[in-house]
Amino acid sequence: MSVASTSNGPALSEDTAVAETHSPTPGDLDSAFRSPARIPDPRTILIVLIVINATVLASTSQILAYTAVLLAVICLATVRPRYALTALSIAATGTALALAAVAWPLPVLVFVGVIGHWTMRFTATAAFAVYALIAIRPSVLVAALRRVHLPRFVVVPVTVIFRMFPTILREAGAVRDAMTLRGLHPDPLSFLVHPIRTGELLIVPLLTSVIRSGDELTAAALVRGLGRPERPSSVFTLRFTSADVLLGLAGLGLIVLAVTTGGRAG
Amino acid sequence: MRAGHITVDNVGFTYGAASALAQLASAESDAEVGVDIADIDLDIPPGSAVLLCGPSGSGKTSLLRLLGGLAPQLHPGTASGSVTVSGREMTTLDVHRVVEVAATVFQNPRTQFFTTEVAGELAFGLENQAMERAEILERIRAAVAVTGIAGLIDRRLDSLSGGQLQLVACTAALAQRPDVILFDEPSSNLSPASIEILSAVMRGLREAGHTLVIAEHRLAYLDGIIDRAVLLDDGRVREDLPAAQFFALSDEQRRAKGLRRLRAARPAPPSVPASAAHTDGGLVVENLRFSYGRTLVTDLDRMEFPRGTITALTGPNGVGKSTLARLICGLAKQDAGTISLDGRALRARERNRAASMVMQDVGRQLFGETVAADITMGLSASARTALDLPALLEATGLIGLEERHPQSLSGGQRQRVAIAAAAAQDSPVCLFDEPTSGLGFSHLVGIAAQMRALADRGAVVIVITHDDELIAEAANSVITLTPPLTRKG
Repeated sequence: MSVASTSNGPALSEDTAVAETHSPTPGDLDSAFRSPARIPDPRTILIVLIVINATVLASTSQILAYTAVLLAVICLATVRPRYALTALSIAATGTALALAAVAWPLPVLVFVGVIGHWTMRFTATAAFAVYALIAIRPSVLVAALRRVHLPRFVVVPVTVIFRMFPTILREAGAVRDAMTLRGLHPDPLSFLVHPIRTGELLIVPLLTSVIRSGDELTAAALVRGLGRPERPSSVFTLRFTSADVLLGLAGLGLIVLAVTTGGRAG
Repeated sequence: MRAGHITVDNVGFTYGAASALAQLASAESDAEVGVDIADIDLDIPPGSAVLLCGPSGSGKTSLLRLLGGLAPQLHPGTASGSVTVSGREMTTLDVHRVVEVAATVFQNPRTQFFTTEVAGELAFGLENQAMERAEILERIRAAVAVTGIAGLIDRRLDSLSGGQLQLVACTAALAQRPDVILFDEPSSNLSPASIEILSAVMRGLREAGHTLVIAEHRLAYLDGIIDRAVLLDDGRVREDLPAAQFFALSDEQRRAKGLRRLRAARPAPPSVPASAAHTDGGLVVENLRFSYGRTLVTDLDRMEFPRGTITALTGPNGVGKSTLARLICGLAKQDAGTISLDGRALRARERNRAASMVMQDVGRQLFGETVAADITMGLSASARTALDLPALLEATGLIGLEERHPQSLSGGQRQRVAIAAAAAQDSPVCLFDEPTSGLGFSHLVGIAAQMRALADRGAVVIVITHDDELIAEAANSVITLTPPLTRKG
């Protein structure tokens, strides 16, 4: 059988469920199974995430910290420009406070300045972590984990976490809505005043609905061959692109900076 | 034995004792938590399409589970007799081998996907069988050509509507190239437009030579797809009719068998008169606007929901019905406009108190340790003394269940607990979100009566539904939402 065209099939008509999508882009099969070239391989991203955390938190170098913030902001800008802007302003505010404390070493300013200094450093790691969460497609990550021959007991839980996390959030939101309408006030204050009672009200419906989702999910996955004895193949293409080279070099640069500049924290 | 041939020979199935937790978590409609079946004999030739139907609790889901290798493998119990699909004995087949012969499209589009994106989902079953990449792509291409979802292939699953998700499930099943495709109430969560497409896709699957077995409550859309209808009741096959004879049943006959409509509902105006006593006052929505981010979801000039009236809110998936419900309940705050009750504009907090909602997934809203505690939860002391609990239990059919844990009840019973809680709150505004999805005819009639009782007490009753049959049975007026003209700002 050969089906050359991937254009819309016979079932698609204007007033259909499929037409309910806001922007139906004609899908190209091959591109659906790989990330765009500007997104590095998940393994590169994860390694650089570790490098940023290690260097920024282990070295006192200011240059290193600024470089790390810059790197994280640039990466974030390739996927969510608005988030990048937010990260940049947070880091800039922190830096300004730290510099102000150096210029006018009043006790209050010093206290605020130290907080600003660490805020700037943590912005680097947090912004890059957000980038990793957005840029890494779960399916591509699973393909990457399989490629490096991680055993199934590692790969399957990773998939399940990606799959169940949004479900749990959605269910928790729905339970909270229901509590609001029943006058059970699931606000932060009631958690402080009646932590156990409020927690119990939230947890029982949440657990039952998440367990139920989990059961249905398990059944659907098992009858589609999850857990078969053979090693699963992977249809997602992994390839190292210029984005990986750039990101890898940047990570290497951070290590060099960490070694050559500044002293060690703690 | 030919591929796609199903034989069911003197089959029975008795559910084992499920763990307490599993019982708590069981969502299945009414008595279908685990209906034992017995003495089932069927022969389904390759390439034919068979409907399994019957009232809630008739055992059709149990039978489908046996055919699909889900019971006794995943639903513990004792099977007797023999079920074969393409010559494989299903009752003893390893669960991970099921993928080689049968695929199941499940009822709930939200919980049958293992990955987070369409492309990955279509490949999932094939990757598990360690197929070559080229083979996987070729199969997906061919399946997509049948179901017409090429435009969705690079989308995330959580961005799709229920109808689109069911098409993805059909495509994934088709890509597996199974001999047999099983459907467990696939239309439960779908709008009429989506059901039409689903039905076109099922016709395509049939023409491609797959054997189809469909367990379903909604029947009209299957006219022209199925060859036979197997009617179950009380765990046994009662009738096995050719499609022509089945769809020729009179309205009285199908009601007597506890079946839903066999012909699509005529879009007739609702004939149920509103309660005359409460025509003054009600809920009015004016110049209401609401956006998620930059996407305008709600843009309504004026809409009235009188007291004593059951208003059905319909429209395609994703048109903003749920958003409107959230605005009315005060769970979301409008960007502009007013929502007023009896002429007084209400703030979001006030709307929280004025409204109650019976959610589609009703387990999320049951908080009490017993049915009685749940119904009275959140009531003021004076409201508690004023409440005639026995009468309320009687009216909602919960007599004898008041000491049970609400999460341990069947789907229909849990829904009635939520309705009783709404009645106890005496909310002037009661919303129902898809109350009949996946439920049979008798349940539909029951829910219509419960809504009527609330309206007769003078409440504004609003029901979000795709279910034409429920609208015909219960609604006094129908509002069809259309998408705002400016989708993106």
